[in-house]
Amino acid sequence: MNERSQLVTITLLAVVLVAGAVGLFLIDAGSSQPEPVRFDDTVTMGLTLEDERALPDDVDLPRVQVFYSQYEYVVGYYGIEAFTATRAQDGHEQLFGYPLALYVTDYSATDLELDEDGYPRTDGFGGWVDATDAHFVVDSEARTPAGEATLSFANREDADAFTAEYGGTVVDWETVLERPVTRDDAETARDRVDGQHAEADQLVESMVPLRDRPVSVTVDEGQTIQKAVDDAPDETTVFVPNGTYEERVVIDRPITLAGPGADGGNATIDGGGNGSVITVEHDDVAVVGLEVTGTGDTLTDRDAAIDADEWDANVEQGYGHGDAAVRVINSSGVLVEDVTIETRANGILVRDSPDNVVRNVTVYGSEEWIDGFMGVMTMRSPGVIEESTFYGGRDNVYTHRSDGVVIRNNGMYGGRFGVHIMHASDTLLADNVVREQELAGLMVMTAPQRTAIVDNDVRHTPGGIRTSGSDSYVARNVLAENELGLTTNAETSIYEDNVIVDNEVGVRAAALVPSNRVVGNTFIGNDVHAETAIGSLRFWSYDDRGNYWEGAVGSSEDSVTLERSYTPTDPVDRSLHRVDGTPTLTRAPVRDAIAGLQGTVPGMRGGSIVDQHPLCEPPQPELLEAAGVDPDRYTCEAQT
Amino acid sequence: MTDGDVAKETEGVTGTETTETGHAYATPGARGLISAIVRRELRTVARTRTFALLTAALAAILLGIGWAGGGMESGYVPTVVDVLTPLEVLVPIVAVVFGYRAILGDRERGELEVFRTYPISSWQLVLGTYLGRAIGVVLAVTVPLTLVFIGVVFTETERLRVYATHAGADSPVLFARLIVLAVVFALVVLAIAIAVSALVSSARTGLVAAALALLVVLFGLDLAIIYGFVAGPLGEGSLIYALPLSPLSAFRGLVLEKVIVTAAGTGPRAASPIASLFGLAAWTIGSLVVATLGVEHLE
Repeated sequence: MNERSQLVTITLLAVVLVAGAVGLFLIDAGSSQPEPVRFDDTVTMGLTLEDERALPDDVDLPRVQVFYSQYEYVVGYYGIEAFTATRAQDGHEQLFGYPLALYVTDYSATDLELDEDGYPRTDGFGGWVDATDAHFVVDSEARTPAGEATLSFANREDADAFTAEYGGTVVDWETVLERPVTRDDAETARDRVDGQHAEADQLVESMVPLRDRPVSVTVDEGQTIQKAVDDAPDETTVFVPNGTYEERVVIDRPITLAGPGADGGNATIDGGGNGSVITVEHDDVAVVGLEVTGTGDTLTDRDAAIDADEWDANVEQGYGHGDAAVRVINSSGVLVEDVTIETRANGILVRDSPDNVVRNVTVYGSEEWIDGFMGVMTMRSPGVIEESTFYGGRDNVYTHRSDGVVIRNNGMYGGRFGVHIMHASDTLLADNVVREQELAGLMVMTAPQRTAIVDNDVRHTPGGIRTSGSDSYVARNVLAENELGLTTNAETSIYEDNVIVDNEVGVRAAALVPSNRVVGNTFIGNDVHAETAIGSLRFWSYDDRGNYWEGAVGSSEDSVTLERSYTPTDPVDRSLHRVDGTPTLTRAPVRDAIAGLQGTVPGMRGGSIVDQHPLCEPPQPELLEAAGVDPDRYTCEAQT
Repeated sequence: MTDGDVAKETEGVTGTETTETGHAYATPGARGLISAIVRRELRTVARTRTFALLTAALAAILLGIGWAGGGMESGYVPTVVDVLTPLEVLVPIVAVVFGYRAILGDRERGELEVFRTYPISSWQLVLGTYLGRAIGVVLAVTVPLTLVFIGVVFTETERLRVYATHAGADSPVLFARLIVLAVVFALVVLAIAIAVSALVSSARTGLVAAALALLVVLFGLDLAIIYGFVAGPLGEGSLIYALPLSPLSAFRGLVLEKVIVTAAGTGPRAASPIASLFGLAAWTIGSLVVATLGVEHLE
């Protein structure tokens, strides 16, 4: 090769290389707009399982699917409000990036009508339309289970036609995004706690007159309780003196059946091992001061008459018609207090009976959970269950479709679950002491909303508190010596000020979409403080405040937070409180070099947790002391 | 560099011209002279095992960081985020190692004196040396980063298959941009190293001067900009144009602006690309001019 051709070759090569390099900066780096996917394939937010199951098939709720620049899963929202509310959360853009593409339900292609609830009904799904091209109707009569609904149309004429019939205004996407978001969220659940306690107090207070009803009949020796009940005038008390009564009683009038239990006496009603012992079939009945035993052992009654059209017919069949010591059916305002129960099936079964109070009851259930049933079973019966004690059985308290039920100040020992929440939103679980359940302490299932779980103490279970659903508030709980302390499956929720000590795994973050606020919690002595299997990087701090992690290193200028971030999912950081030498290793400059920028594209990262502002000392010393840990060992001064 | 390598370097201009062209010192043009020097430098680079070792070490470190940081399994942009800060330190070290003895070596062995007898001017010598070593530096930076790139391609991300997924704003193009920017940055620091090597006269001062240049590039210039911003001379409006005064900040700014922000979304601008490129070009040309002056005047 002569010098000239060599030169030409080199020059050509250089030109190609430089052109290629420059070209890299000129082309669009692959952010082309993705096509919409099947909604079922998205990670879905904004609807409870009950709504999903109970809504008629032709109800076609407005939906959104979003492709975020930094998040590999496509996120689906039921309701445009669910999207705009989530978008308004702090740090939303940092976590997910900006939307590369955003599609909304197109009602133009359907024969849209609103039903009596304001829910949109169509003859089939109309497809997707790019949100920026769509026309939106706001402030119309349209509703979703979550409240007001914004509907979207590809064609302006269809939007106008809709407003002519159902009111509202047609606006564009920008305007929709700018509208203030009013939606009940985790802060609603938090702010509700005190009020819900007060309402429960009121309900309990309203029961006092039932206990003060005058005694009209005292059950005589040789007489049956049933006879006395049948003889007593309304609004009076049937008194059952000391003794054992072998019979089953049906109360179908507003009376109080009272034994001497509260005064140290003992009147026992023995059902003889067949069916339910006391059945209440009238409003404003009270059952107080008795011992009940000899229930049947039927857990599931296959012959029960059930409306098979109801979406939860199989649940009612399975759980709603078993034997019980006390059974309350279709009766509101019923009080069961100071009653001691020994049962082979349910302790107390409450079905379709709102505003009931179960109070200071003791239930002894089966030794093996598989052999027994629920301590208290409430089905479509919100009320108050308090100051009671449960031993064994299957679930100490099981609640099905009882929105707003209050379960507080109870002791729960043994059984499968302490509390088992199914299809019930706005529930309050407070101040319960839960020990040694076979599967979990407080178990929330079926994606309810605004569950409040506060001030409970759960120990020695495979799973302390397991959450589900969204917009929940989990605070000030003590979780000690469990296999797994707490899960953060409930999304867009607040988990704060919990004390999580000596568990095998403190917290498992399993929600796919990182949308929770986890802050002010104390992690001490757990084999693994926190772990996550899947999803993206989560930040567990809020307003420059994180959690207390035993082992986290770093100096603190303000005696409040450490200047070094802590990553409980990191192999070195997770060993800081257990392995000698790790405090030195974690300070290696190469780790700082990596950690420095890691928060930049969190949505693209594999499942991990970072606390950017770990606390210098545990924020809840009293709770820590209650958990058996000396808080003085962990103060900021003691460590630095 | 071993003594043997140094000795072999001298074959460069003095030997090859006759054997390869067959003409005994037929007056070659400027291009011919430069390309002869380039070839000599390339042979030096190829023979010096420490350069290969350095490249291998860089590859090992970057792969290790990409793996340990979790970026490699997450995607291209997370990997860029993981390796950016290490690159800011490692690329200048590599470039300085490649360049700091280039002209100093010629001076120590008296070859600069020999060159004076040839029809070759100082700028030709400097440019040839620079281009020759540049090819080595380009390889030393490109090969490790390409290995990391391949690592990202072949590392499976753990996903739930039941859900629809998409790539988001992640793209191999963004990683390719990082490689280009790292190469450009390395070439700038190489020019600075060549300038240092032209200004010193002994191996000992050469090493100290190289270390000093590294400290200035890694810390000094950024500290000066920070001081300027905090103490006041740099107004808020001019910071983005002052950043390129430090090649390190120019590099970091370009990566943030052209690779990471593309994925991360909004916020204040990270850099002015034009100003950054201008700054990098100025550092390169300025350094080569200084090197030329050094060769001419410090004999």
